[in-house]
Amino acid sequence: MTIKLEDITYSYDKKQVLHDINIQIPEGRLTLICGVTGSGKSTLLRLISRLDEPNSGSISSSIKDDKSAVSMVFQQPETQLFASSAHKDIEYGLEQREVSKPLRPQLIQYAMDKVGLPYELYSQRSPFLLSGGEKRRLCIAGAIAITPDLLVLDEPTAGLDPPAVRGFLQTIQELLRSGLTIVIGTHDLDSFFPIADKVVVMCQGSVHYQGAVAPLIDEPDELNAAGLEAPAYARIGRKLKLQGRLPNIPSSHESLLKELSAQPYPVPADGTHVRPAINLDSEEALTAHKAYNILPSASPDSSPISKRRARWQALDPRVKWLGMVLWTLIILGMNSPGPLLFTTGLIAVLVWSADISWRRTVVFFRPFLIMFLFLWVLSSISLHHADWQLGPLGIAYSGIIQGGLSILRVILMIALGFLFTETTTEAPLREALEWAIAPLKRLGIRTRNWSLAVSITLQFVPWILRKIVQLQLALRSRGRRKNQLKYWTPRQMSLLIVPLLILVISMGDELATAIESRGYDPTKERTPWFVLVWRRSDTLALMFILLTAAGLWLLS
Amino acid sequence: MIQAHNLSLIFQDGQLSLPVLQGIHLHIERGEWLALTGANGCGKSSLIRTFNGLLMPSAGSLTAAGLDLRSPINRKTVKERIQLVFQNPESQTIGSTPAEDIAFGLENRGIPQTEMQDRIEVLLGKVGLAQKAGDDVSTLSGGERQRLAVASCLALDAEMIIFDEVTSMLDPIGRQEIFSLARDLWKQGTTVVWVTQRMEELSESPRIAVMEEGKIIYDGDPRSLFYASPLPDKLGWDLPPVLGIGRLLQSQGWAKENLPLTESDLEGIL
Repeated sequence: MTIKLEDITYSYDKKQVLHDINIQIPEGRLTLICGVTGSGKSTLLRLISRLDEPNSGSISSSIKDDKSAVSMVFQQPETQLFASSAHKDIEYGLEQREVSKPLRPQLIQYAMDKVGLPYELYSQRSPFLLSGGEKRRLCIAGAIAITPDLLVLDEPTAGLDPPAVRGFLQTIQELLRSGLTIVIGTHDLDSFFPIADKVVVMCQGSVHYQGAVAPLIDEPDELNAAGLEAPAYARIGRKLKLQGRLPNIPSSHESLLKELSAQPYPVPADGTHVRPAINLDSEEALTAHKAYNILPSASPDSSPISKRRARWQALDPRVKWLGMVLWTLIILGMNSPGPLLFTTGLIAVLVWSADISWRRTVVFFRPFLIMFLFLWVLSSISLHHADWQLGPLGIAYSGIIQGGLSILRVILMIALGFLFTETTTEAPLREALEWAIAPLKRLGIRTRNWSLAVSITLQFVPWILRKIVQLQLALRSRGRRKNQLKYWTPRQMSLLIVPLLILVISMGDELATAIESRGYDPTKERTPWFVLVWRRSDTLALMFILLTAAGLWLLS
Repeated sequence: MIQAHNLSLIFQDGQLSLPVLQGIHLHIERGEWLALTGANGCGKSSLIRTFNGLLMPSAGSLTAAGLDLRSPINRKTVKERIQLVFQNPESQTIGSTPAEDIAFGLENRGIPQTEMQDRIEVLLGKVGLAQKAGDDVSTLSGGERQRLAVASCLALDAEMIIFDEVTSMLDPIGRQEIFSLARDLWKQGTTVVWVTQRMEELSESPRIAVMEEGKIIYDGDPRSLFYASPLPDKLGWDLPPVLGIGRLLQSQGWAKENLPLTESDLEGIL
């Protein structure tokens, strides 16, 4: 299928990630999207896959139901495998695309064999226990089993061992021969340039180059300006061409060797050795390896902290802890809509005053809102005191009100936590908590352990939420795109639990290792880096907290 | 630095015994650079996790930094002296800014407060992050986060740093940044174990160990591996063009010691 993107722009968190994108994906060809981290490559892949919509511009394709005709495989296989066996995992996608049951085994077997995971050996194995390379191949099998018209892959060779890369390239070539349109986002130009039909080079959110591979090989400045490097065979071939040893720059590793084998080099005389690869004393070697100090940084977002946010961050963390605890207690005691709505407005003003972006707030709250909406619906159902009848279900007015108020209370408490963690970094958060719970030491409680655990857990809430979003996106890419609500059914939610738990456990395990390796010992003395200092601004903040808390208490 | 004799590691999965490491003999000298490679699932990650006491071998003896790792106290000491940098930098960042992350290790070592800020600045400067001391770590690129992880290891005065496939998810800039940093540290005396699948990184290493199914099947210099051993072909490696040209020259009668390993070697020849 052909895809055309016209005048596309896309912004995230007030930052323009993509602008002026005009590209065409040719049918039945391999198009590479190249660019360094932060160039907008992955966002562009999501738009091409129709998993996200641009802020402006249009995306059109040669197929009417184009959303169902695209399959996407993401960079991290851990965030896109859900079922208890490889067979079931692939079958999930087929079921979502309404492939009839009798047809499924044949398609699953074909896809698994195609990616080098023999069906007999792998079909009943748990996806979570496969190696990294096997997981990636299973993801690709899931994507091709649904016989898409367009296959989109993000960094498919990252972390694969060399034989797996070779096998993968063969698979891609076979899929191209069968007429599939493929788009690959990659840094691995050595592997993909020889088989690519078209290259799009992204740089700082815009298209830096689009066209055939050959001009990029002949003139690599376009690649270098985007922070990329021409493949090794092209770099060497170019030097040889400049020396007059080759007529043209070769198009692959094989053609380079073929050209060179036709013109043997004289064997050097005995005792003439080449420069050793590892030269400890060479000044040149030392300067050559200082690249990290001179290369442009490729941070995804490095916007400076705003004045409003800085003011919040400068507050003593103890005053923020106190505010959070006090307000939480008052919110817990609120039972009528008026005070709760007033508090909602007040917290919204505080979030604004901390300069937390709307988008970031929405991303944080979205998973909670969906869950709470479900709970709200449940709380409004009544079997005996229904005010309205919806088919077999009875709906009670009191249930709607009470359920809504309970949920609003929880959301407000979460909002306080969100405000606190967004405006307090890990060290102040930990020091303040350790100070507050210090008296518990007398009871034999290891307060250092507790303060570290709480501060790290709070810091990792946004990480967990990001993983949920990634898992949701992977689920959406596997299913039909017609009915978005289908992705919030209990079954869909239950599919997320196992991979999410595995991600959290493995993250916790590595984090515990890092903490231990950094010499953490709760029984040893330490010298805190962050020193708690109470300033005049903290006294003012404390007064504000106490006054508003008293006001809210009276109001409730 | 590391002395492993007949090291074995077996994982139990219910009734099933899975041999992960089998009869490993390996000596790593202080100040050495060892590149470790092998297919996905061959036991590389398990082996390096035994070096700093994260995994206990099922059999054999293992000494790290002169300490027998059978003793729990020694394992605790070794964990600080031999540091690991993982593939995923997210799982090793404790602070929410680079300065906080480095400070965590310094705090635990009881470094006086007056010295701490100076040390943090020196360490951030060493890894090229001096301008980002107070940035939110989630805004750093992958390469920058890996460099931060290295700085946090250095805060502990690590004698040896193990890099576990740290470049596999990075773009070319990030790869170059972290590889250059590791090379600099090695030149300054830190022992480095560099785990990788990338041939270009292997060919720049003075010593390479290749693993297959829990065993070390090669331990030696890169020229012997790429130009005198059948292993690269047996393991199905796609050699980069420099080594491909080297093999071509070898077939034309060039002696092994004259063959190129890196692109700069090749420039010297061609």
